[in-house]
Amino acid sequence: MASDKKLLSLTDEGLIKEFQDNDTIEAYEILVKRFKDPLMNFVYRFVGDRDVSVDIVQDTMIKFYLNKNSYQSIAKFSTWIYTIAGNLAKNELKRRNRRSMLSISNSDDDDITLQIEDKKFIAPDRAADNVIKSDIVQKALLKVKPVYREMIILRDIEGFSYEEIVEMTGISIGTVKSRINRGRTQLQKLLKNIYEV
Amino acid sequence: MEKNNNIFNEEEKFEKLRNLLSELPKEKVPDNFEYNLMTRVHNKNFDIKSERKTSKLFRIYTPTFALAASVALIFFLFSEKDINNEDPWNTQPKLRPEMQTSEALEYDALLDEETNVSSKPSEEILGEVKKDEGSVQMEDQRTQNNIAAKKTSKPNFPFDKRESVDLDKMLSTSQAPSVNKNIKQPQLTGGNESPSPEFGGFFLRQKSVEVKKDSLKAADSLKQLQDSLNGKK
Repeated sequence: MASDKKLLSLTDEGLIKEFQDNDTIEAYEILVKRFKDPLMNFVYRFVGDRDVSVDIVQDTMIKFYLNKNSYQSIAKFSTWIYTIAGNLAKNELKRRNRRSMLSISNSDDDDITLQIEDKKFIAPDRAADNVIKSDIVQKALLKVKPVYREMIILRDIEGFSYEEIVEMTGISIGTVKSRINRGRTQLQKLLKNIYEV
Repeated sequence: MEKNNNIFNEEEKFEKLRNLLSELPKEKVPDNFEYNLMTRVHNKNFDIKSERKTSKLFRIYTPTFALAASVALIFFLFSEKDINNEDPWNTQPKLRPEMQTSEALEYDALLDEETNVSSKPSEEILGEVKKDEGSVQMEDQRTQNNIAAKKTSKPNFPFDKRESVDLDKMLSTSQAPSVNKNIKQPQLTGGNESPSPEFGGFFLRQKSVEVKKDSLKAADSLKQLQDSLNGKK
């Protein structure tokens, strides 16, 4: 019990060190509890499918369990685990793109476009509803190119700094900033008809 | 200093958008997430769904093998069909065997009817002679003659089938009909263009009656001869 309290007081980096050194499964469980929801939010905003996102987060945790020793203490644990989740999410998107190229009809994108365009006819009082609002924003976000989308989610939804994003993605800070800027511009255009952003 | 100002301006420019994004509800994992994860860890079920990969060779060769297999299948199917089956669009319909046999039987019956008239008396006579003589050679000869007669003999029409017949002239003069090659063989109405085997034209049995009379006379003379021989014995 006392050891649990001690573990709970540890930082992310302290917990991963405990897990690496002593193979303490409790430290692993605490890290899972801390990061399961933020990772779920990040992956869901990126992929747009709840069930798939849950699977990706599970796979992220499994990879973390299996490759705990590949983490180096020079980096933040959060950036490391977000990198794993981001790579798995990108793989999922690539697989989807391959499938959509092979399939005869790709109606998903058309539906999204139509739905976004039709929403401008929703009455203002109903448009204020948070559920509809978030649904519209999510669909608009999925229309943005994945390279820009990832940056917007990490910066504006998850609240990471530019340096952290650089660490996660491995690209230069200038590229990160320009991608964020382009992504925001795209998203603003998509949402202009609905909200005056 | 200028760079920081630019960043600040951009952040200001998209402030509403940023607020909109930050206000989005936070998605959460289902309640059984941790339980499922720890079950997988304890069971060492580390199969990662999103990283299942197929080898490039498999991706390349699968369509090739599929194509080759389908070509081979089509080849065997069509070649088998060529050997066993005939194309119904390019072959003439065959006559049913029962039809063929019935026609043959009818023709044979016609032949028998015609040949029996002339051959029956001589058979009787020959049979009696055979009884008397009792020679095997005669019997063989008779059977051979019968077979030959059945095989070679044709209906002995008094006119050519392919020629028209002037019946009045023929009955009055009882001569052979005149040959008129321009007139076709008579055909039954409703029949097809090929000549019907049942209908061979009109013919008279007058000549055959005369033959019958002659044969009966011969039979009588032979009978008398036999009686005289018996009387001598």
